[in-house]
Amino acid sequence: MAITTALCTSFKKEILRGQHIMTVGATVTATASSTVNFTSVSSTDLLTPGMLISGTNIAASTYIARIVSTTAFTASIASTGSISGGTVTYAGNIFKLALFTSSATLGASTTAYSATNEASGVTAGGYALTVSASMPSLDSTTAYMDFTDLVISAVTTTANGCLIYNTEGALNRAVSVHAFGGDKTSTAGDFTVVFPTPDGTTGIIRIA
Amino acid sequence: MQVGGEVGLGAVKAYTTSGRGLNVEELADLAMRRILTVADTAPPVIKEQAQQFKENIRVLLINYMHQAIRSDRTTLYNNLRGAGFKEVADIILKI
Repeated sequence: MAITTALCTSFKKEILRGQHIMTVGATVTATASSTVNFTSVSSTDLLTPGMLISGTNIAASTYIARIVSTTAFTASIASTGSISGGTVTYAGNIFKLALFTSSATLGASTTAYSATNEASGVTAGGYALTVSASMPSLDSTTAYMDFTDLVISAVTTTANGCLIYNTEGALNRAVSVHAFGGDKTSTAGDFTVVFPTPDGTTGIIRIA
Repeated sequence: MQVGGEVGLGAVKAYTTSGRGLNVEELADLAMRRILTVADTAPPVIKEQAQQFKENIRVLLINYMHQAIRSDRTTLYNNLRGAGFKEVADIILKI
């Protein structure tokens, strides 16, 4: 039983399949009228199939089905009314960080979140991470990702490491495992998970 | 054939407190890591200037965070007092 820092092997395959959308949300403008065809999109540069979109006259749980061109995409559900140059908000997947005790076995072979040996005193399933602004970003030729530091306030718990995973589709696919180098205990205090300096040499996830 | 390319993983750290939350100095240190980093390889003069700038920003952050706490306590004091909890409101103001 041990927690070993590693980028999960399954994650490496999954990013090539496009099964993880790691990006900060933002907005574009688009036009659609009771149709799945969104046109006159200000830019599809940062859009990708699977992204949830929202806005006036966009039904709940609508996602981007296909990028048609630099100015058009199709949605999974037809707009519920007219959108004329309206704001469309898009979002990447929701990633969570869960804390585990030293009894957990986590490492490169971890494929998904499991509650087994999760730390007590904290929210089961972990806490949603906030993707930092402008992420993913480039440092010279290296792409990197960053999350904002996670502060779990007024908590009593002991954790030996954590798992970052993707909640999309309730599949809870594992991203990475991080050992804290020993038990870390917070008693009626703050448990803070600090992410590395976001750049091309230390960023949490990097592709050089 | 392999032409460069590598997937890397950064180190995550955990910091804990007991019986209290993070104080403004600790929060400022966390924030500074994200506001400015100085490369070890930077020329000494640039490095020195950057470090001084970093320290100035840190002091500024600490001052404003202290003010934010004081301002929030003023708001809490008034909310609690308005809700009829004068004694609790007084305690908040004295912390």
